[in-house]
Amino acid sequence: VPDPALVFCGTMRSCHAAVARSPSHKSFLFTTSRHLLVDRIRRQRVISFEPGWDLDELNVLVDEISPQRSVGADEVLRALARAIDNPPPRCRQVVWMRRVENHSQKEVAKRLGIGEAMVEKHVAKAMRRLADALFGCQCSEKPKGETGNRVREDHYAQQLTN
Amino acid sequence: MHNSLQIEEIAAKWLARKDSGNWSSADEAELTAWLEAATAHRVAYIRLEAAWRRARRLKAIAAVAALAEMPQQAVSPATRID
Repeated sequence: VPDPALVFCGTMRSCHAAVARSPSHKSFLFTTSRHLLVDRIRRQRVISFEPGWDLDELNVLVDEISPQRSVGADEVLRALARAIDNPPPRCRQVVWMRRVENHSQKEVAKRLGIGEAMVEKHVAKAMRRLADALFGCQCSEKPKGETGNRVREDHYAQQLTN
Repeated sequence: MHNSLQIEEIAAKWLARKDSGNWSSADEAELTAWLEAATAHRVAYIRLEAAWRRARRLKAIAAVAALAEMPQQAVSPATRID
């Protein structure tokens, strides 16, 4: 069974050369993939997705189709990317293996040579970091008189400019 | 009474345990009881669950990163859609 990511990439033939030449900066990758995929959908090409590509990932693209939602998708990906860049390496590996590569907890434990309980601990920690990155930090009480939105926006701005 | 960070820590442990696959009906009952005990429990749980679910979107990055590493000749003209 071919790797879903590679199968998917096979459908994006036309941006291959540009990406291969690039210094692989994340922002470039985001932009390239987004433009390409949106372009595909706009032209109503059929893209064959392997099992494992669920609606969550597709929403990244669908968000772009609907103008009122277009702001959100980019920020979500950026926030996720930052969140996964920040944790200690082991925690990051666990997120990647569990969420991107879809390995079971048992498999992850085996690959990393650690116990399942430790994988679970990393997952619990990662969930909290991801939630903070996506929805704003829980670590301090909000100042009185400020709205929740304001606090979240500030946090987002910090996430995006760091 | 737990503060919000302690509640979040407990919620994360529940969610990680549920996500692990090692999950029994007794675990489910215990989690349900914990969630029903306080609104703050439910809020913390839902917040973490949403974040963990959204982390799947990282696949979008993985796909393009894999593409960048793919040798040029690996993609034959036959696979081209255009």
